[in-house]
Amino acid sequence: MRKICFVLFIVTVALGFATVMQRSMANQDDPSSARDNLLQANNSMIQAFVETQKANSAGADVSILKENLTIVQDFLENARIAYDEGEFSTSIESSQQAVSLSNEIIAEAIKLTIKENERPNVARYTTIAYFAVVDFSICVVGLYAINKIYKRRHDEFLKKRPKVGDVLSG
Amino acid sequence: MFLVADQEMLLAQTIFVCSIILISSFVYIFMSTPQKQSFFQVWVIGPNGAILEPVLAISSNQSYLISVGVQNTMRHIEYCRLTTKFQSAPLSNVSTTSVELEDFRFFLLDNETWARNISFEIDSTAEDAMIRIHGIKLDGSYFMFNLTSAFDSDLNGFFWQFRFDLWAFNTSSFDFYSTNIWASSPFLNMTQ
Repeated sequence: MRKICFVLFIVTVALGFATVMQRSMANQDDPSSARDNLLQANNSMIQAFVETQKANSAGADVSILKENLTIVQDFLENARIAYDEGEFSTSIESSQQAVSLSNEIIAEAIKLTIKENERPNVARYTTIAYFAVVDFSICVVGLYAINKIYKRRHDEFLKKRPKVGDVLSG
Repeated sequence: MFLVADQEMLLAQTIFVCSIILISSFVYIFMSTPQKQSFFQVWVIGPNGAILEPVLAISSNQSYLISVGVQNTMRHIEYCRLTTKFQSAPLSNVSTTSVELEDFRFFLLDNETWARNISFEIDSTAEDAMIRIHGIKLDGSYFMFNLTSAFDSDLNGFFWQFRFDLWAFNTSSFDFYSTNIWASSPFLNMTQ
């Protein structure tokens, strides 16, 4: 009885494995699956480019990401060629490589964008500080000069003004 | 410091301080605005950077080489698409016909240049008063089509050219848009 159960178990496992493998193989040779993978790879590459451009606009150096984007494009091109030639499993493989590398690029680009946005903009703060110091200095000198001019005018006015004694004697 | 306190002096000082603040703000804004222009450049030259003659005499099934280049000065990375079109040269009164060939897609960093040598070979035959083009071998790939070219009596020849149009990827619309920047090869005179 035990032996029969064991044999039945082995047969069930083998049949299950065969079914899974058959489905997997069938899936790999399926043109619609290859097309879906191609579309997904293309979308991933576009998303990777968008994130890279964001990081670049934030001020990050994206030269390595650009190299990787070029590799993704090569994968995508290989996938397209394989699809056109009817080699769907090769096409799917290349598409998946493109998606995988695109995801890495997206992650790295987001990291770079956050890093750039968090970094204090030293150049801007330095310029503002410079302007503040220059403005303050000009204001101090200017206000002092204005004050001097008015003080001189006031003194001249006092000098020219007839004195109380002169008025009384006159 | 402020020994004399009358209204006229206070007004003068206020105007002075406000002027300084305004002027420095304008200067700061002017300095912060990027002065560099952003644009693309496309060019067609001969191999090894040689300047091409305005008209090239072309024979059927002979291989020729041109070099096409693109420079990005848009201040950030760009995803570009360069379309290649073979068209009858828009000269005198001959109507223009064209055919789309290969397109190139590439990423370009700011201030980076993409350049590529393109070899081409035109498969054509002469018929009565026209040239029939059966196809073009571009960088090893054969593009088959059937175009005829009428004889341009004003300029005494059959003139064709390659036109390279630059497209760039728009991250808002998720599609390529035409930059309206293009370059064309010299006129290819196919009388010989």
